Amino acid sequence: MVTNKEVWVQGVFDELGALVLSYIKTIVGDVHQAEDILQNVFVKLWKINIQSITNTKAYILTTARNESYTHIRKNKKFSAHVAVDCQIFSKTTDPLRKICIEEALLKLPQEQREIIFLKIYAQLTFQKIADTLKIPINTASSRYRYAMEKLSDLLGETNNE
Amino acid sequence: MNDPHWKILEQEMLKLQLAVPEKHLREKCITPKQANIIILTKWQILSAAILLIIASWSCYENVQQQQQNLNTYYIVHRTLDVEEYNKKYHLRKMFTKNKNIYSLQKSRLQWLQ
Repeated sequence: MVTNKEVWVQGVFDELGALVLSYIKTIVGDVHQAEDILQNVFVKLWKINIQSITNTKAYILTTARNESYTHIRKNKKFSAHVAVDCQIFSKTTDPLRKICIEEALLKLPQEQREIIFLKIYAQLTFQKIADTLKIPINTASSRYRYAMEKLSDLLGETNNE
Repeated sequence: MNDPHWKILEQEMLKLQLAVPEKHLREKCITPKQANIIILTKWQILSAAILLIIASWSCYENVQQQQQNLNTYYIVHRTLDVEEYNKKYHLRKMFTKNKNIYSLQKSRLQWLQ
């Protein structure tokens, strides 16, 4: 018999699973560790009371972030700042371009790739990004701009400004 | 005026779709964790029961030993060595001498009873 909670968790996974997994990959930079962390996030979701969550997306992203940083702290040998071979995007019509962007993104420092992810893929406002990362809104805005410029440089594209 | 290049890149990145989690991962995440919990609970109950039995036995043994010690203590002092009595301060404190009759002090007598 399928319970309400099971239906809810399935819905959350189908709607936000890809986003959360990619977000964790962006932070830890490793596919296998990201999958383990995603499972931990859902273990927490199973335990929580559904009624207590007002914004599921914000809640799950914050939980994913906390779990990722807990994981990084526990595994000090693993360097979270160096991301290698981590597929974030699905196969698109131009796989070469996708790989280039993915590699360039993973070369950025952790805090920069995280903010790019939250702005472009989680589509959070700078205010919500600032709340999630616990930084001032101006810092969030300038960090995003700086990160995008750096990403553009890494891709070898000249800046027209 | 043209947009800065990072703005164009931003638009391009918006079109990229995120990788979808594999099926096995979906199954792991959406399956309730009850199965594992039941196995763990069985083991936990079994371990707890074993520990409880050992602890009870140990406690019982301890009480028995204490009781035995108490009896021994009592018997030993029923046949009090007079020479020892004169030597040991704590025996003099414990037993009061009255015309060659050694008796336990009142409070300790009550405790022994």
